[in-house]
Order: sequence, then structure tokens, then C-alpha cells
Amino acid sequence: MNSLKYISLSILVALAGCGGDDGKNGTDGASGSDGANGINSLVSQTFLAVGNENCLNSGVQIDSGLDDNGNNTLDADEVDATKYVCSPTLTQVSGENTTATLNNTWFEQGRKQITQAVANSDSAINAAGKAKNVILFVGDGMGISTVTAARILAGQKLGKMGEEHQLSFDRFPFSGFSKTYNVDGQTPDSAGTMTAMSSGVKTDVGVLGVAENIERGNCSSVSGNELVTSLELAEIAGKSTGIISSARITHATPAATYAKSADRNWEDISDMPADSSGCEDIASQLINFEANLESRYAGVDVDGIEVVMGGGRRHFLPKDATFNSPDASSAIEGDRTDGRDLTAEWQAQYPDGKYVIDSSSFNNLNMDATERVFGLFNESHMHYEADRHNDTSGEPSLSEMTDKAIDLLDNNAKGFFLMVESGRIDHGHHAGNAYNALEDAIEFANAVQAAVDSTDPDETLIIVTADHSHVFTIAGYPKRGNPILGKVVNVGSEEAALASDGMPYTTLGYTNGRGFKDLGTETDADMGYAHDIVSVRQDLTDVDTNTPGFHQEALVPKSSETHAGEDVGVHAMGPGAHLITGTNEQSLIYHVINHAAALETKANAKL
Amino acid sequence: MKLQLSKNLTIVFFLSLISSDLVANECTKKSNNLAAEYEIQHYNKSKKIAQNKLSLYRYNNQLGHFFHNKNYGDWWQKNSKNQLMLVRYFPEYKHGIEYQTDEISGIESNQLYWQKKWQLITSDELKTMKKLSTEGKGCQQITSYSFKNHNKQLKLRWLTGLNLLEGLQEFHNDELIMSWRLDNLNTELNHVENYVSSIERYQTTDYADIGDNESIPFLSKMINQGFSDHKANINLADNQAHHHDH
Repeated sequence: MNSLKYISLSILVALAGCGGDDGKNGTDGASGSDGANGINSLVSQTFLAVGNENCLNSGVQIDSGLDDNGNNTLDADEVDATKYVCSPTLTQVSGENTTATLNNTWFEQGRKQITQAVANSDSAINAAGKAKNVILFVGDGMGISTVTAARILAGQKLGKMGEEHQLSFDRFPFSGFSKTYNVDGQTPDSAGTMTAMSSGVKTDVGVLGVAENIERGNCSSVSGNELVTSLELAEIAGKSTGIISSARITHATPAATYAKSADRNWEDISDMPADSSGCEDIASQLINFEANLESRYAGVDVDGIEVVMGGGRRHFLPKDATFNSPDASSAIEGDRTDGRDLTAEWQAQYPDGKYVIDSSSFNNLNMDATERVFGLFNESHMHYEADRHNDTSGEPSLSEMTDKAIDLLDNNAKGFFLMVESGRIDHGHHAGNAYNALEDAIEFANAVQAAVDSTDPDETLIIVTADHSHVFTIAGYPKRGNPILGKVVNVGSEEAALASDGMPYTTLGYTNGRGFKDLGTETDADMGYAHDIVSVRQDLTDVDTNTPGFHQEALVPKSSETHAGEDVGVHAMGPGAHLITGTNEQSLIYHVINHAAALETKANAKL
Repeated sequence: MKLQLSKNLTIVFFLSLISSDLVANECTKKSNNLAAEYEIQHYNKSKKIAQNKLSLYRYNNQLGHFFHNKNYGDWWQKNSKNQLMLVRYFPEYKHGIEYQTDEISGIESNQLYWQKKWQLITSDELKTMKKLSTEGKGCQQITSYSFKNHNKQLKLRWLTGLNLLEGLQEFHNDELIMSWRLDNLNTELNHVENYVSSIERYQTTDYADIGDNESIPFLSKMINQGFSDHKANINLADNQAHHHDH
């Protein structure tokens, strides 16, 4: 407490004599004795912080009173009066009171973003059909935690702390959330979710391009449940179309754009049950896409999908070694038991089209002079991005495929529709290997950037999302900049934090799956399947968890790590992008695309 | 007369050479296409404590091990680049799980791994054993070997022409602890081909796709183990001396 003391003076009262005429004043008598000292008066001042009930904006409380007990301190029971001198209310954010805030980089960054956000909002175009081109990017299994961890890893690879980094689509002006559940499943799969995004209709787990009245695996239930997809509408509308995936091109996500199937696993005829003769396998539907679409709508004349790139050659070739590709990994590459060589059928349909199987033939493509491309770069899925160097004949990256595809598709004055899937983020997670999942997510972001760089934002709607999430967590209290693949090191510490069992633990982990593996420099996540499931805590003290071959610990032992059921992010730029906002059913994505590009209207005009 | 005798001897000599070549060719042919069924017994203090069965299939550039007590098998193929591909198959479910080349190439060198699966013992390991005797003729010729290392002893019988294990006994401190016995051998090509074509009809799932197919009961039930420890071969350097279906 600050206090000030003021000493008061004693007052001497003089006594005067009286009687008779006033004579001369006698001589002054002797001075009387001094009176007793008076009581000190004390004043005390107390600073009041912001929010005080008497001075909301801070101020000073002034207490005064007599020091009755003479201890030179104004005790509480000696206070006779209290007054307040309060600070005035601030009427503007300026001056020295706001210096610390205004000079802060976070504050400055946010202020700039608001300016941009207002500009974005002002430039939003509500009119339908303003998007000449549409690109839908789907990171398979790329949930929120995957995006965050990939962002940090990408930043750290650039020498940053990581957390502040932005992936390409982090910079998109509009975003929202999708609720991913399937009609019959709380936690979804890619078939149901991609059907929702492609057709605007949520459906069951495991089925492609068909409504929920389907019975999975029952061929006879397909008829009458077929859905129309945005890719088909774009095709009818006269746009060029393309599909790209780093998984097999017959896998659930790409297949949901072009196929109608009672089971996602009917990738070729050998996968189908004997009683399904009335149904066409997925690979065959891709090759027959043009004819099938024309047969579905009377009078429609389409020219087929211009760009198809991915893996999955096995589903297009006969089960006969004489049809093996030069880089076949199996003794017999093809799986088809009907003797059909669908690659030859495609070439016969499109004599000017280019069928490519490796990076050298891919690199030699001149897209300005190429009418269409069919690229099958692997017998099964294409390699993980981190493992791509191990492909014997070479595979293009997702960003290279995206770049090339746009080069070809943008030759059409009516625009194009392109779907790009990063299929192996999902597989990295299923194998319990964050390294591969995140490296593929980073490459996915690179592919998005390639699309941004190759298109006109005024006429191209780009949507980036995931089909579903994974049980992938970012946990503990690691300090800022701690290696995202590393062990948790707490704020202010240099040593790995220890769990209650006395052992270190990683920031990244899985709720379920095959659990810990220390495979060192191995860049193929699927090698983890060669090792038994581990469900007990491991001492990671001497384990380098940053290596490509490290598989994170998992709580619940399972043969394969699973999808998760929470919402996923949706990011958008271009005409109609502002419609991606809030938390919506995943099927809304179709409607945003349809509105932005007026697909139904343009397709109907052709019918 | 002498000349005639000499001519006859020469003919006999060449005929025997031709005959031996024919036998060798016949054996090689048989050795590449066969089905061999082994009974494997384990002992403790001379008392049998466990019994398993393993079937070995050779089919040109493919080979299989079927573990009877587990009711699944591993089917290996070589592609044109000598890389290995594995399908683990489950006859009960008529379903197989496929591993890509990359997923198995890191186990050991492909050639050594293949030899261990094909012969159950590598040729180098066989060379370190002491040759004892030979009996029988043609493809049925059996060579006996022995091996001793510290307190471990092996007695092995080898079908030389077929490069095939006929029998094995393993002793620890002179006590029998394990034996392999060739119970059935079928070298009819049709027999092996029929078996292979039955496996080829099974539906297969790529290992990377298991996570997306947990709704298939077979997949969620049958894939809980890795494959790296499911060996069926003899290992001289290992004191366990045997790896079989476990």
C-alpha cells in the first residue's frame, strides 16, 4: 500500500486577564506549558486494476482518516473517507495503450486476412454457371488431423517450425465441413462418401453410384437405383472430363464418378459372384463409359472421358501371361477371366488416344496435340509418393499427372471436369504408418497447387476435401516446432517427456491398428503387414520415430487401422466457392459443383 | 573280336550315359512339378508332444506351402524380373490375400528365400553336412547326411534327383526332439495343375485394401498375423533347428 503522511500542527490557545478600567497591559505572564500533540491525519492511495467495480477502466482509490492509534499507518478502521479517481473510458484503439497489440505479427496477419476476406466476400458470384471448369480434389482419408500434421511436416521440411506453414489449400478463401456418415454407417467408407459427393445422394457403405435401396453384393438390386454423377453431366454438357488417382483407377473413389456397382470390389469380372451376369464389372464400365452413357439417355452423343490416369492394370488385362506389361510385378498380371483385353478395346475405340504405362511414355506426351490419355502405371495401386523411386519403370507423381491432365482438358472451349484422388493417404494410415500418409498428403497439396497455377481462378472452381477421416491423433503437449514425427518434448524441455509407464511417446498415434513397427528406412508402408500386430506399449527411448519405416503405436489391436467418423474439411476457390461454408451433409458438394457450373441445365439442354 | 567287344563296351558306355542323362532329365522335370506331404512330429524326452502336416507344392516358377493344422497356405510366384509375389490362401473361404513384390522383397535376398521355400533347406546348408551313404536308383535315389554342432545333431535323407527332403531327425543331447517324414509324393503334372487351378479361382484381396474391406468377415478374421515368421524350412545355424507352421 502506498501512503502519504501529513503532520498537523497543535493549536496553542492564549488566555487573557480582565477587570476595572483597562489599565496598562501588564507584562505578559509566563508562557504556559505546551499542549499535547494532536493526532496525525493520514491519506492512503491504492491502484485499482481494470475491471474494479468502482473504476472499471482502472484508477486510484484515495482513503483518508486520523491515525487514532498513532502507528503511522492508516488502518482499515481509521478510514474516515474514501474517494476514487478513475481512468477515463477508451473511445478508440490507438495510442500507446494499443502499441503492443498493433505491433504484433499475429494481429497484423489477421488484420490483413480480414481485408482479404471482405474482398473475397465482395467478389462472391451467386449466379449459376460461372464456373467453366471444375476440379474436385479428394484426399482419401485426409481428416483434419492429417491436414494439420501434413502442414507441420511440410513446414518443417522447409526449415520452419511447421505449425505456421500453410498447405496450398489452407490459403483457399472459403471452407466448411462435411458430415461424412453413410446412410447405413456412422463411420463411412470411400464408396458411399464419394457417391455422395459425385451424385448429391448419400448411400450405403461399399456401393458405387447407386442409391441406398441397393443391397450390397446383389446385382439384381442395381437396376432402378443408378444415380447421375457430376462427371456424367459434364460429359453430356460437352465438357472434357478426367479422372486421376494414385490408387487403382477402379478403386472406390474414382469408380464412384463413372460406375454403378452393387459392390466396390467388383473391379473386374473375376471379382464378381457367379449370379451377377446381369452386371458389368467396374473396369469394363470405365472402358464402356461412352456407350453406357449414350444408352442411358436417348439422343445423347458424348465423346467419352479424355483423361484416365492411375493404377490397376490387373483389372483390364486377361489372366494370361502373354498379356503381361513389361513391368508386370506378378507372374500373370491380368485378373480378367473373360479373356478381354480392355486396354486394346480402349485403343480400338479411340485410335488417336495414347495408352501409357510408365513415366517415360508419360513424359513424352504432348498434351496440346493429344486427344485423350489412358495411363495405367501399376498393376495394382501406384506407389506411395515416398516409395515412388522404387517403381521399376517409373511412375509420375500426382502433381505431374494433374498438370498434364489440365494441359489436355483445357483444350476444350466448353471447359472441363476433373477429379483427382490421392488414394494412398488412406493406405498409409491403414498400415499405421504416418510418414507415408503425410508424405502423400503433402504431394496431394502440391497437386492442388499445380491446378491453381494452371487455371484461371475467375472461371475455375476448385474444391479440396476428403472422403473420410482416420483414427489418427496429434497428442501430448509437445513444444512449438517439435518434430511432428518425433517423440513428445514438453515446453521448456530438451528431453522426451515420459508417460506414466516411464517411457517416451510419440506425438502422432493411432487409436487402433497394427501398432508399433520399427522398419527404419523402409518407404513402403504396406511392409508393416508383414509383421505381427503389436498392442503393448514399446520403449521408444532408442527408436528413431522420424524414419519412414516407423509405424506408430496403436491402442486397440486390429488387422488394419480404421476410418474415423468425424467431419472433414472442405476448401474452395473460384466461382461458387463461397457456397462451401458451414457444416453440411457431404452430398452438398455435388450441388455446389452443379450450381457453379450449371451442369444439370447445360446437360438438359443437350437432351 | 576285340574290336567288337570294344565297340560293345563303347555302346554300353554311351547308352549308360544317355540313360543317366534321361534319368536326370526325367528327375529334373519331376522335381519342378510335384506335391510332397510331410508329417512333422515333435518329441519331449522321446515322447511325442505335437504333430503337424505340411504340403509342399512345386509348379514350374511357382511354389506353395500348405499348413494343414492352420488351414492356410502361402503361394509364391516369380515374375519376369525374378521378384517374388505371395498369395496367402484360405481354402475354407476360397479367398486369398496378395502381397506385392515390394512388400516381401525386404525379407531376404529373393534367391535364398526362394531356395529355402523350394527345398526346405538351402544347397549351401546341405553342403555343410557330411555325406554318409547312397541307396536306390533314378529319381528315388536317396543320400543320407549328418550334421553335428555342439549338442545338436541332424540326420537327413535327401532325394538327390528331386532335390527333395525325404526325412529328417533332429536330436538335442542325443535325444530325438523333432522328425520330418515324407508321407506322400505325387509327381503327376495333372495333380499339381489341378491344385494350382483350384487356388487360382479364389477371390483375392490386395493387402493394402484390407482396411477398406473390414465388412468382409473373412478379412477381419483371417489377417491378424504377419507372414514373416511363418516359415517352413530347416535352418542349421539356428539352435531351434526348425521353423515350421507355428
